Amino acid sequence: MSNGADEAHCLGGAASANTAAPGEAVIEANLVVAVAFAGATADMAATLAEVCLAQGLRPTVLVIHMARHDDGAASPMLKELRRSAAMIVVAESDAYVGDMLDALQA
Amino acid sequence: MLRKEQNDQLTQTGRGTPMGAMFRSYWLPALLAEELPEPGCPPVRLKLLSERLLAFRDSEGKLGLIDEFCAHRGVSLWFGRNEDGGIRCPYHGWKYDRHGQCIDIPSEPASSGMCDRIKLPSYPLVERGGVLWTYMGEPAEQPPLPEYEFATVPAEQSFTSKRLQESNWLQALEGGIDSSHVSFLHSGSLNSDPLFKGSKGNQYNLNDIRPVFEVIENEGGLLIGVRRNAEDGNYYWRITPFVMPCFTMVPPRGDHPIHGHFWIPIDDEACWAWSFDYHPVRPLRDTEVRAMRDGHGIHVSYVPGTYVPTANKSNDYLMDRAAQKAGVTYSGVSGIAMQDASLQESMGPIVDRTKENLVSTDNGIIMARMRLLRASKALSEKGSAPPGANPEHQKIRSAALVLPPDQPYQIAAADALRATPGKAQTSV
Repeated sequence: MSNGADEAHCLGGAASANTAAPGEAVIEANLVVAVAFAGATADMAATLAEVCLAQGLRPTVLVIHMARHDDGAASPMLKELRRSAAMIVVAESDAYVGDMLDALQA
Repeated sequence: MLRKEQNDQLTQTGRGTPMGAMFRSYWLPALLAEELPEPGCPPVRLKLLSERLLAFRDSEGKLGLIDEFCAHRGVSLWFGRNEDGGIRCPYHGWKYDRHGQCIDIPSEPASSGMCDRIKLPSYPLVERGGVLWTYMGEPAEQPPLPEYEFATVPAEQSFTSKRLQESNWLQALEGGIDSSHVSFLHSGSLNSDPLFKGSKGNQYNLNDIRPVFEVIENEGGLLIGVRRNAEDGNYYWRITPFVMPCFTMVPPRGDHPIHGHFWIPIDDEACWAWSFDYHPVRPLRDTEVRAMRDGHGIHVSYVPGTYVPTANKSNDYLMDRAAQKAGVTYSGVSGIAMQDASLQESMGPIVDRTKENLVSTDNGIIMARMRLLRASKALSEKGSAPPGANPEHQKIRSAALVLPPDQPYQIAAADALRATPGKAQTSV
């Protein structure tokens, strides 16, 4: 599970993976929930989008702590995430990561 | 999916339950004002949050909401005589005022003091925007009166109805925040219903049947944004606010009135589906009101003398297989409200959420459940006032608009989502 800023993390399938290089985890996944902390770079979001598009995956993306970052930082990241995401959830608490995985039976 | 204990916690609203305590933290719609039209009129029985109650307007026109049953031998006071400042049980003549205080026991001498010791449970009942609202919680914790825009615009700009729904309240609420069903279940109605047709937004809806969702936590609940492709790489956004515990608004279409719902528990197996339409800056047109009264848009027609929909479970919702086959309606059930209600009731009174298989487009539902569970826990453990009780959380609107692809909608549409008196809705 992620614990820092400026990274996008992927959790794949029943076994979760934690990596700052999302490609490998995504390729193995049958379900992708990406936890992208607001403030993460647009480059990281773009990488995630490219990998997902190449694999034909449409991840659910959970963006946490958006309110702690300025709007200018969020826009480029959102634009990249929107290229591939089937769903984006913006929450203040990282407790929703567990809730979402439970609810989706991931 | 939910664990069984989570499903139980969310769906049980009787006194003493966590979600029951949540609901008792808010002003809730109890009756339409038309149900108690004049001083001394017949009382109305109602059940809310599994409590059986009696509402009446006394001889001075003041509203009361008290326990339905006489404290003497348990007779229903619905049979009572509404006379001179109170309601009198027809069995032995005990009389109660609008606060539930017993004010006369004809068989007892006044000196016995018996009358003073008898008081039925009672709740405040207040008229606002054509609706009679009640608050069923601790008097010391009573929040300010509701400020939802539909209830604060001039009367000629608003129309409200209610209908019986034979399912738990949460099934109904979840339908209200699950926008992904619109392109399927309601596809036949967007271009034909008089309260929906004619907007450009409908074409965006029908041209892109793979909408993408963005759910955002806000102070009062959630914003559920649904985007579809528009021209020049832009996105058409439909934004639904969910204000806890059970208020939702449908994004507008063109200049049609805005509409929305409350889902109020009757008990754990039925709820009142409240439906309102209003226009922020103009009176509703006669044609619009007529359409609403005839059951178009999100409203229904009734079994005469009741708030039971004409199409209901007992008649299989007047299912029309020919219309289904021909694509006139997607499900074969006519009317947007009953298209929703028929499927929600078909799940059974309380659906077993341990067996469901949710997908990414269900994240609005997932977030709503989690917010409700967290808020009820915070209320029971810390006494924290739940989101949505603050009137500032209620001054919100749905919106429909086209935005560039990099815009966070909660920021770009911030003004559109705020209920500003005298300002028209933002709609496409």
